[in-house]
Amino acid sequence: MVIPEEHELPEPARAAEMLRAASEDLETLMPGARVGAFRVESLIGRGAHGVVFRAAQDQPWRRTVALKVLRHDAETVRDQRRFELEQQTLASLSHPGIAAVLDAGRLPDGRPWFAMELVEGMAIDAMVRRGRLALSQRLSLLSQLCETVAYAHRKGVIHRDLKPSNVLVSDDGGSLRVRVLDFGVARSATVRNDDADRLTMTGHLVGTIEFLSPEVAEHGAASADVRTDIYALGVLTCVVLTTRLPVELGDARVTPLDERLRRIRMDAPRSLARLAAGAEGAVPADSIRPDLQALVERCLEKDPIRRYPSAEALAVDLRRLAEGQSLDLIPLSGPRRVHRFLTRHRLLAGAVATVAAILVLSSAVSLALARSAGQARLAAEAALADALAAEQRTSRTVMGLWRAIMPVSNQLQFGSQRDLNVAMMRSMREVLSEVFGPEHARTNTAVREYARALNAAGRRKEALEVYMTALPIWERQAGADSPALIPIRTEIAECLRRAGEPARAVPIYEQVLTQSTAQGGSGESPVQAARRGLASALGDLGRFDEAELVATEALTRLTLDPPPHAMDRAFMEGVLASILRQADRWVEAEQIYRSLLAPERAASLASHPQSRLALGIWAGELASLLNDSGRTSEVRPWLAYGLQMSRGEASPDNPTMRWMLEQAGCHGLAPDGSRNDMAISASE
Amino acid sequence: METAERPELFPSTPSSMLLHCRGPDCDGRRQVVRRIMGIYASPLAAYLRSTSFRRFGDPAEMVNGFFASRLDDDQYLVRWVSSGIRLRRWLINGLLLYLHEQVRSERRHRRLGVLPESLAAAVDRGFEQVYARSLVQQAMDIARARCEAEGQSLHWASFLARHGDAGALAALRQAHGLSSGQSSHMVRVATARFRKALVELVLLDGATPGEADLEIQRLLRSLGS
Repeated sequence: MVIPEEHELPEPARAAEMLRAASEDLETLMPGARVGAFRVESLIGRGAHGVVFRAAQDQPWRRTVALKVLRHDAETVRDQRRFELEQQTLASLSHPGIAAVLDAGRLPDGRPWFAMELVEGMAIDAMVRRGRLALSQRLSLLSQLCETVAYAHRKGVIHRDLKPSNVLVSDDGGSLRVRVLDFGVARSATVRNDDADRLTMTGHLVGTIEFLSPEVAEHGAASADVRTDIYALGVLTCVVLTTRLPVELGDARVTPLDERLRRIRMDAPRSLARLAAGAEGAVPADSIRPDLQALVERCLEKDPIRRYPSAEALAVDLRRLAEGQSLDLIPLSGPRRVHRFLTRHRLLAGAVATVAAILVLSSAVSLALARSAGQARLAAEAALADALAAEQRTSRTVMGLWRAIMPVSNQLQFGSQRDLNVAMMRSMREVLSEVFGPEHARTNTAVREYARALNAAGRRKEALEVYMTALPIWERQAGADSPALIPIRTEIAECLRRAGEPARAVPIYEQVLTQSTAQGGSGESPVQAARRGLASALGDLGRFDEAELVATEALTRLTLDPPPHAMDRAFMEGVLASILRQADRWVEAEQIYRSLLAPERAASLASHPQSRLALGIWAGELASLLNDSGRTSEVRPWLAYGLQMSRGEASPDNPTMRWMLEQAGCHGLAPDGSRNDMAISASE
Repeated sequence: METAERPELFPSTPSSMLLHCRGPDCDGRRQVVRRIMGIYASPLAAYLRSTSFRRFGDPAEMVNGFFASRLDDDQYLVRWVSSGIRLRRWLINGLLLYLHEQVRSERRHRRLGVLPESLAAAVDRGFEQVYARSLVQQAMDIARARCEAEGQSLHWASFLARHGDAGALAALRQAHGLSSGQSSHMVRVATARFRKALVELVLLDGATPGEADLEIQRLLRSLGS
């Protein structure tokens, strides 16, 4: 056969055109195509999983329907399952505010479809803007919306993506009627770890960010319950009344996602009157009564427990307001929201003071940390002042302190002040436990950070004790199969492996990988860390063939799975090199070490403390390998580089670090990798 | 590509076929080997051209040598099937190993052979792009052959015209007196054949049927789209 030369192949643009033809042309059903008893008329729109067409039915009834078909390019079986779940969810609901499912089936190519009532109307925000609706009309629409959501909740369905475009308003013979659409990410309210959870939790965030609740922004979709919908209803109320969002999230093009999520978690909602002032389409600012303000505040509480307990209760209050009645709610101004924790909890004052003192100390001993520690110190001092003032200390202050110290903590994990970090994290755990309760989500975060700090400090047994005490609580809260536990289990296994217990670590790593595979995840860093850990643990156990298989498979996945993570890939190559070295396959190991330490690649990796440390360790391992090969003349430059890159950052129990420090003197090097003239003359 | 090939014999599940059809006399196996060479030779040669292996000879010849050395062994592809990794990755690794062996045999007295490329740096952008182009070319060849075998040359011509310049389809329609509906139908039939061929080739590389669309999207990205 004739093998085509490269120049005989289609040009990239032409090849891309052909690929697009293969992937796009079949997606759109042509007008006139028959789908079950329906005839496709036109394309209405495309969603994340489905394409929606307007279609007509002639027999046995004449009617127009919305036909939703699984997208042709739906990526995985998970997408298909999610599509089917939406269909099942809708079929279980029968309410005038929710489009009913009429029929369902499969296309000849196997894609599922379902037909539902065609809802023609206008998104609720556009309607209020265009219709210049009065306050009472808006409140009445919102009350209808809440009644519909309450019905879904009673049926055990949480919507999880309530936003204006999913709430249509139609003029139904002079009265306005609200319909709720798109139950594509809905899930059961009563069963925590059902299919929908597994299908929607992998990406951690479900819903539209502007309407995301603080708990989902912080803990992912696993934490969603009916109160998550209540929060979204509060945001919707704000938008319908003022056309503005209660929390300014910033422009998505310039504000990083993390920062937008942080604002959802931390920033207080602005008052309705302030939002309404000067906003086109908003109700007059002076028409907003304190009880309406209080109602929205209650919906938008950061702590779900403080929100309306049900959409039904919210609907009742909205209806009363629409009818001109008043509520027994009083808005809480800033100072009145102050929690008087300190006067009740003396421990807190001590803990905050400890954190502040540690921050001051850390900034004094490390110039590199001076700037961030300085900022943190100011925050800590402010927190302390607040604490002493008692009346002014709030949970926000504590969280502000937490935010301020985290960058410092992250740096301390890689420096020589790991014990300071441990002390700081222990104090923060106590503070958060005191303020929010021992099993609150924020406290959980602090407990985990404390365990991580212990692990980073080489205090493995203590870290394991903290992890093992907390794990049953987290399993109970999130469910044993929750993806949120994947990184935590990976950390536990890592801790065990480094504590010299690889045999205990292996089944945990395997559990993590089995779980992540079942839940469709593969490319995330925690999963990569698990693969790295499993390969290393197998290598530690002398099971080199299995270790190599895991490492090469992981490398293949990293090469083939988008997006490519340069650091993950480099770390996995480092593990593979280490396994090959242990298996006495030195030539291959050396090859990989040299590839990792090639100047251009090393330069790109050296910008992060963790990979800088890894570069140091790889250089040390290469130096050790060269030493063992009898090529001692090649050892010194790699040893110097290794010491220089890992200076003060390697964990004290790292054997390569110990070896490098032992060897430094013999090669005329100081512990930081610089030339040590005294050692040189002594060795000479 | 020989047009005499019987496309219907090309297995839609090459992996399972390989496990049951071994030996050089197996017709299906020969087809698979030919297809593999057709798809992967150019990308592998392009890959070698971007590495320091190019110092050791003509990349196309090195790739041919590799195929001759490995694909004659019917266990080679059986081992690939059991490896569970993508064929292109398997071939790249195999090619590197083959070249390492060649280099070592030439420099066997040195302690450390010159091993210019690491395993992990294997799959690069250049390879992926040429691989995508090669796959498209092969899929077009298969789809064209299938259209011709069904007496649907005009369908294929319509498909090419539809995805060529804007005026070409209208001219074709006029020349053959086709209505807009007829023409659209022909394009859809040929598109379906092209897509089917493309999916088969993607499956040959080791993707599962559920991953085929994702793989096509990945090919698109590798072409800079």
